[in-house]
Amino acid sequence: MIVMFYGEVKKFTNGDNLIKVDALYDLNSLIDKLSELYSKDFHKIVTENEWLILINGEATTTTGAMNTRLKEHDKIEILPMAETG
Amino acid sequence: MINEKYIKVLYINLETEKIHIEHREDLMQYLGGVGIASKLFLENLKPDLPPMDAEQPIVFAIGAATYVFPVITKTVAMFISPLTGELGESYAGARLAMTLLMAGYDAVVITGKAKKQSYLSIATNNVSVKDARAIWGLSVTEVGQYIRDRERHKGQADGKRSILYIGPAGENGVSFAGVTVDTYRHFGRLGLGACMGAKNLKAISVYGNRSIPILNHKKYLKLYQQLYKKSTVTEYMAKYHDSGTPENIMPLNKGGGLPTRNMRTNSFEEAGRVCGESFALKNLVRKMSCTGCPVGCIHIGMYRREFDKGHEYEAISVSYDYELIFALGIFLGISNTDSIIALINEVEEYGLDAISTGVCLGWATDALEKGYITDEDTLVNLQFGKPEAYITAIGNLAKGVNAFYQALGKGSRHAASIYGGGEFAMQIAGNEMAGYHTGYGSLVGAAVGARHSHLDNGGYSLDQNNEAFDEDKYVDALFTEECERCMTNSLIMCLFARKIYDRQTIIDSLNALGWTLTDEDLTAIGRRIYKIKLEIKKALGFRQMGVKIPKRFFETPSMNGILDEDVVKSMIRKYSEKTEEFLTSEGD
Repeated sequence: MIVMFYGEVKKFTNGDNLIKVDALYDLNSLIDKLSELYSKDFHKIVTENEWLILINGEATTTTGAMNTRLKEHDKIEILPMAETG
Repeated sequence: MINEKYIKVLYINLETEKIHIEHREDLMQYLGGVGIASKLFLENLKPDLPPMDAEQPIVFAIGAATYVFPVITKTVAMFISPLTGELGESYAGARLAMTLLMAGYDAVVITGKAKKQSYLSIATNNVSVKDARAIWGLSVTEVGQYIRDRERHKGQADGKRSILYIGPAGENGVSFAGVTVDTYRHFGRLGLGACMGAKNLKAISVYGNRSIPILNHKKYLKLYQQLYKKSTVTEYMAKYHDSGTPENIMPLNKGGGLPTRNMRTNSFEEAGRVCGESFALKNLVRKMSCTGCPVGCIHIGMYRREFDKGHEYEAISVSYDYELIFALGIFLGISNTDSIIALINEVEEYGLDAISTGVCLGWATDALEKGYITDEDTLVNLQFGKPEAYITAIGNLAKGVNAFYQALGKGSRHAASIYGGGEFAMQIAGNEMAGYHTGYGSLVGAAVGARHSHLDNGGYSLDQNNEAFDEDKYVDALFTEECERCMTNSLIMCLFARKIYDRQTIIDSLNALGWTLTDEDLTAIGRRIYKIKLEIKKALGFRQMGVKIPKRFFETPSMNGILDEDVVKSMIRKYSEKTEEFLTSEGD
């Protein structure tokens, strides 16, 4: 599957904006994998709802939480949440 | 008042020119900011008189920790909104909070209508109403220059003065006219500019020269340094300094929550051309901060405008952020950064709220295309993606050149009530939508929020988290966050800093200034303030169950898919029941 990173997320991926990883069972295991590849901060921040996660263009809120099932050719996009003040 | 056990309130009656000061110990229970502003507003409100009646109050207030800690930079204004007919509440940064603090006033209550066109000069121990007939009708830039030249105080450094002023839109009573503060910040939403115009008040100059001793200097300094570090060298505020809030454009576009062309769609095919990165590469010339903030989130963009033949150019610079790019760019289908800056500049000069202006013009474009209105109404051929006609329309709107623009100047809900097309007038409870079509959180949050803003309860954040939607949990979360923001807005910190100022940090900060507050106290303060706001809304006739949401909100998919109207109604009903119960409960 393809995992794409946008904006400030790239600070946690050493500037990578796209990686390919083997298909994983669910979103939680993908985040574990990214944390292993990059840093533990990645796991912590993602799971604290700092980022928006899209699976094939759909926000994860429509499909459930971190146990969302993933398929081999899924495109995962991780972006900063939209916020203002 | 920092170091004191009272809130110092300056009362100004513009009609009688009588001025007096009260030291209000009873207001300390509201902490400051929106807490004291709400209480003072309720005390002076005349619910039976029209919103623009001279007797209606305008209240400004600063917070309990204004300026003495980083990013605590905002001033709140409360008024009756001519746009919604109920609670008007707006926040602005720049130098205003600092100068009010240095002038020695926690709050200013303005009533009455000046006998002639005037401006107010507020300084330490010196307040006067001055003649503004010579500057009535001037644009925002011109009036700013005039007041800056005239309002000089002995020994003054410019940094200790703040000026707020209205443009022609406020004078002409456009219901969403804003107030400009120190050139680049605004009380934008809900029509404070029209309220000032109705009082014959063109501008307010505030000058302060006090110094404020810090009683527990050691404790204060240690905490200040920690907060400064958190604000500048950690990730918390980095994105606000880097490309700023326009960074929102790509996530919203990717996720399908970006209202485009009067929200006909939820994404913009040319989003990449108007995102933060594009503005930064093409137009960004500098970054600025409000006084007391080390972040530098105000992004100034510039473009070169040809104002005459023969290679005659001028540099136009404005501050830009996400909401402005959304409303005057994406919502109107415009994908050129220079054109968006030109539109922002036009809105600035006339003193209009950018969000309402863009959303009203989006409705007008759709209404023209669908035949609800004609070219004879709009006077120009409004078309999505064509900035030139919008430039002209903004001037027409601010000046109210004909019956159509006068109606549009009362908001899209009002215009649609006359011409039709209410199903695509993208307002909620009369307030034009902000740039988030993220899901149930944003829609219901705006419907029930005190000022119908996405910032009342952060519903759009709920929609973007990774948890499954749950109706009851969302309703509870919106209510809790609304109370929480009442508390944080009593400080008044910039909402960008909400991750820096967690509960314990707020307690430590306030206690370093002499308060003795606990976590429970902060919860009680938030609830107490929200209760007053609900009382104000009730007094002005607002009922949550009465909010009618335009159809298009249920037709265009949100970030979380198509929204079900029945679910939204159910959530509003549950929220309404919750607030009714809250209003009749004892305590707080």
